[in-house]
Amino acid sequence: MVFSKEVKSVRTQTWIGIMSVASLVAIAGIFLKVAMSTQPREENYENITKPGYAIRRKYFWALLIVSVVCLVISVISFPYPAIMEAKITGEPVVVKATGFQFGWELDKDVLPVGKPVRFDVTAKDVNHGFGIYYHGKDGSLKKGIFVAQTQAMPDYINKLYVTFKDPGVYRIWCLEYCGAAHHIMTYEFRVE
Amino acid sequence: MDVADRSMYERRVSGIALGYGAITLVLFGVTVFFGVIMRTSQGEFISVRPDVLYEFMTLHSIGAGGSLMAGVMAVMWYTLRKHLDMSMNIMQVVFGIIGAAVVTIVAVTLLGYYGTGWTFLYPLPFKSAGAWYDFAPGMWLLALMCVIFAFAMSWIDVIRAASKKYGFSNAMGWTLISGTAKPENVPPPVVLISTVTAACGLLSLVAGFIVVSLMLIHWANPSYYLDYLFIKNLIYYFGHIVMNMIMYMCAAIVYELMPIYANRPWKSNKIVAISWNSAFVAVTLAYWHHLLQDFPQPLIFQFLGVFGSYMAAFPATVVTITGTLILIYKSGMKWKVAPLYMYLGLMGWAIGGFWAVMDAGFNQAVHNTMYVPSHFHTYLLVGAAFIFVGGLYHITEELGGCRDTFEDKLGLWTWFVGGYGFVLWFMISGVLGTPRRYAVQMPGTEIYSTAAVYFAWTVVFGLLIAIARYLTRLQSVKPLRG
Repeated sequence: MVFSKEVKSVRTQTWIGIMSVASLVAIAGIFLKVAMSTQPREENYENITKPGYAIRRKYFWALLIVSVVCLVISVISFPYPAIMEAKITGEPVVVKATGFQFGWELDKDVLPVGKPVRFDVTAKDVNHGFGIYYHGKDGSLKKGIFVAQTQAMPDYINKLYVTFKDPGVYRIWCLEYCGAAHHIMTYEFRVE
Repeated sequence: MDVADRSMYERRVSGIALGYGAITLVLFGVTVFFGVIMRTSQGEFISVRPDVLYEFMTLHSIGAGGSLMAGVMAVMWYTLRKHLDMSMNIMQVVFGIIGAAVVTIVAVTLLGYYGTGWTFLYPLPFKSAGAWYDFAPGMWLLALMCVIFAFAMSWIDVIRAASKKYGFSNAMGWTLISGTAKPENVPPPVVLISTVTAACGLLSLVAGFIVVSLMLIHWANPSYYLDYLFIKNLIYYFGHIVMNMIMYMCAAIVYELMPIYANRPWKSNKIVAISWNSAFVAVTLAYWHHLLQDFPQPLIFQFLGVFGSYMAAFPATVVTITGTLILIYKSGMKWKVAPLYMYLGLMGWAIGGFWAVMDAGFNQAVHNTMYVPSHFHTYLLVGAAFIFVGGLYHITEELGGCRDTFEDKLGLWTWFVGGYGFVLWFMISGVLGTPRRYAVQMPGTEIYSTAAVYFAWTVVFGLLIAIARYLTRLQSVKPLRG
């Protein structure tokens, strides 16, 4: 199994997975605790609301801090050209990528490792999703590792910056439903 | 009102709430079944031709969402009519229109081979690569327009009735926020939330009306040019908010019904008013998170989309969900099936909502992977749908004195276990990068769908029991029996 620690999206996805399970367990735990606590009844509701509102205030501030931190992380990891152009050094290799029902056209099939690449992505007919997956050094990795994505929309160019850290075989898979053969819309290129 | 009038009145009220509840619940079950067939094929137990599978996907998405919306609307109407002079005629017209639209959508999808998914992203409806007939998108969009009008009528009636009794500013909670509300003009939470929901929802329906009109013009005259990005913005503003309004209407129902079981009051106050008005703003901004992978969008919209998504967590969890937990804690309430459905539904909202915020915040890692259906199935299948069924069970108890049976609990817990197993496999495959909406799964990812199929069928069994029990419970509602 090839698991590239260089692939940032994999790290993010792993964290999302961990946080998803953690949130499920935490929320279900709180709901279970409250559900088990209904008996006996406390007649004076104020004895419940006072500490309840105190917890709520603490929760509000905790949520605010977590949200602000996450918002900052979200914004600094925005993949948009204006931000990426400030991050990269040197001229990027530009690749024109066009989606159509049901395939992709790229003007380069071999891309450099370790250098910034800019995909100028558009579409001929309908909306498509340009998803790049890593399929191992020799293409033998059946299930691709998700690397990066953007939309492919007619009349618009989505500029996606990627710096490939791993040489090998990559495939583009369509990530926006585009019709009856959406699931077979793929294209292979190499990074050397 | 004399006895005969009273009897007729009760019969109509029960008929609307429970009858439409039954129709929409059965419709929901049928459309869920289309989704399960789709998943069973993705899991390679059966083989459905890809174009047919995408038709099922379209029916499933528009059908499950639409039937849930209409059903929740009927339950909300029932709870509102205790406080407001809601129109029965309008509800009957609304359901008549929706019925006609459903027949059209089913016919066009299956006979016209139409399969764009609910998102109908322009220009896909008009560029099917030969998959569906040219008449199909026009008919489908016309049916959707009917649904838009029907929902608009219902929400306008909510605003009309609330404004008549409390005044619009009071009903929206603005006077509570400004501190100028008179005690007699403070609406109960169900009225406040329904009014805010109706106002927010109506704006999205305006967007829906505009986008469907523009696309119908394109259908009639293909040389009429539409800007792809602009249309996409309109579609998601419309679709995102309408879907969220399902959950907000569910919250209104919970605010009205849960205090009955907890035997504690839940009144409108400044915090509730601020919460729901900020929810209006947050959910409106959050629609931009559907376009985070459209890099040509102005950067400020991308920021607001993420900001609005984080913001949406505040009113939902700090006020509504925490409020419910405080209401129930040491309340002495017994866990009948109706409040249990609603309580677990709120839990689904909390979990699905948390996942939705992560999807928005770290969109480039999970957008259009299976993570997306994982979050919305969590707050719809084991969230809003639970509250809908809980509401229906409550009404049968209130009007027919129905008692819970073992089968009621069996249906609930079977659905619950199946539902969470089902969404967890969506979530796992999503964070492993599996693309969504693939008739045939990406090589190497089939196993996640295969595992999900067992849980999907568990949901079917649970839902079947829940529907059968609801239809049985209906028998004991006297006004319905005449």
